[in-house]
Amino acid sequence: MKKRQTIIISSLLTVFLVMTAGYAAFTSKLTINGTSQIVGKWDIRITDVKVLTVAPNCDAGTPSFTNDNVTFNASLNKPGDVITYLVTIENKGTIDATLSGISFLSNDEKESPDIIYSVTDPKKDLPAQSETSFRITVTYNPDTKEIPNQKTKTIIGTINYVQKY
Amino acid sequence: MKKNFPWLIILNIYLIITILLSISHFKIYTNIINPLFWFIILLLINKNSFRSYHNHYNLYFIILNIFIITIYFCTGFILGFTKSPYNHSIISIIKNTIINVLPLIGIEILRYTTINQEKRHPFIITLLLILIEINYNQILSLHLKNEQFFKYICSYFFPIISNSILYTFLTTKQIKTYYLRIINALVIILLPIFPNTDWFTNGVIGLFNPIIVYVFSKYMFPKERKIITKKEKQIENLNYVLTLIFVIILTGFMLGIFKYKPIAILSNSMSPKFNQGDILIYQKKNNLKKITKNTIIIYKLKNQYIAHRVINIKKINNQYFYQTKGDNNNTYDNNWVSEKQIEGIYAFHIKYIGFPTVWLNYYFNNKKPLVGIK
Repeated sequence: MKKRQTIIISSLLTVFLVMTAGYAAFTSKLTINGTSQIVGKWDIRITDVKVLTVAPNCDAGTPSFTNDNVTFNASLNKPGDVITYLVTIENKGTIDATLSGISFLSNDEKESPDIIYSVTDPKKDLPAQSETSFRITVTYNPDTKEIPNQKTKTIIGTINYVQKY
Repeated sequence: MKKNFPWLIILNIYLIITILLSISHFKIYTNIINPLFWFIILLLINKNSFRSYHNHYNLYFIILNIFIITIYFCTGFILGFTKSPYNHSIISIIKNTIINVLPLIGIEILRYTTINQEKRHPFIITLLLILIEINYNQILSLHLKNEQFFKYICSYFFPIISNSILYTFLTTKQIKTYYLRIINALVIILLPIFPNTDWFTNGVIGLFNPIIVYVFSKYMFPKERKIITKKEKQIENLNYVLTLIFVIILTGFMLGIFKYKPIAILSNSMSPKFNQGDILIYQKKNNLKKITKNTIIIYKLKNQYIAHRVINIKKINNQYFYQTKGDNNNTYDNNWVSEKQIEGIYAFHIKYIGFPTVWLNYYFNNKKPLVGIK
C-alpha cells in the first residue's frame, strides 16, 4: 500500500514539476478567445502570418506565431509609411464557428496618434476544417509633424469565435 | 461456459478506425461515426449485467463531483471568466449532447461491463479506452518540437490518463462513472461562462482532480477499512492531502496569485548578480515610488520578461520612464521602459532550480543547446 502511494505521488509530482518548468518557459498572452475543454473538439488556431506589403526603407521584421498569438515588429521610417501583414486562422476542430467579436486595443492609456493599426475583418463564418485570413495594417500617421516621444506601440488583438449552431 | 462478447476485438478494430478517420475525415468521424458507434454499443450491452451494488455511494460521488466543479468555477473569481464558445440554442445543445455526451456514456458503461461482469483485465481496458479518447487529429497537426505539443500533452493528454485510471478504479468499486462524465460534459456544454484558465491550470486540475476523488473513496468503501490500521490510513491520506496542498500553493505561486511571483532567468545578462538557470522571485508591482536608480526591475517587452537594473529615470507628462541595463551587458537597453511595462521589483533569487525551464526553452525554441551548468 505504501509502495503504491509512493509511486502515485512521485509520478504525479514529476509530471507536475515538468509542467511547471514548461509554464515558466512558455508564458504568453492569449489573443484568440475560446476554450479547449473536456469535449476537446473546439480548435481554432493561427496557422500562418506573412508580410504582404512593405513601404521603402521600412522593416517588417520576421513575424512569428503560435496557435493563439501573433508577434510582429514593424519599423516605420517616415509619415505615411505602411506595412501590411496577412494572418491566417484555421478551424481545425469539428464545430462550425462564427465570429462574435474582434477588438484591437493599445497598451497606452492615451491612444498614440503616430502609429495607427487597422484590421480587415476575417470572414464571419468559419466552418469546421476550413480557414480564413485577415490583414493587419500598420501605418505611420501621415499627419505627424514631428518625431514622437513614444516610438513604439504594442497592441493586443482579441478575436472571438463561438459555435455557430 | 458462458462466452464473453468479443469486446476487446471490437475495441481494437474501432481504435484503428478512430486513428484513420481522425486523419482523413475528422468531422464525419466526430459528428456521425463516433456517436453512432457508441449508440450501437449501448444497444449491444446486456442491461441486466449492468448493476451497481452500492447505489448510495453513487450519490456521494456525484455530490463530490459537483463540489469539485463548484471549486473549479470559483477560481474564476481569481483568474477571471471567459465566455463559452458553445452555442446555447436548443438545437445546438441537443447536437453537442449527442456528439459529446453519448460517447462518454458508452465508454463508461463498456468499462463497467468489461471489468466487472466479464472480468477483463482493467489495465488493458483502460489503455484501449484512453487510446480511443485521444484526439489524433490534433496531435498529428502539432510538431513534436513545438511548444504547442508540450502544452497539449500537459493540458489534455496527461489528464485523460489520470482520469481514465480514476474511472477504472471507481468502476472496480461498482461506481457508475458515467454519471460523473455526463455532469462534467453538460457543465461545459450548458454554462455560458468559464474560469479563464490556461493550459497549465487545466493540466494541473486534470492531473490532480482524481487524487481528491481517490482520497474521498478511501473513506467510502468498507473493504478498504479492514486492510490497514486506522493510524496507517490517516498517514496515507495525510500524504495525499499534503501533496495536494503543495500543488495548490505552487500553482498559485506560478500563476501570480500571491504577492510574489517567480520567473526563470534564461540569460547571463545580469551576471554575477544572478545567472542563467536561477529562479528570480519578484514582488508584483504595487508602488512605483519604490523604484529608484539601481533597483532591479522586471518588465515585459514583446511578450518576454526582462530583469535588468534601472540606470536612469525621467518624467514626461506625469509618467515615469526608466532606462535599464543588464549588469553584464555593454550597452543600455534599446528602449526606455514605461510604467505600464513594469511587472515588479526583484526580491531574491534561488540558484540553479530554473535549469529545467532553460532546457525546455532551448529545446522548443530551437536555440543553441546548453552544454552544462557552468
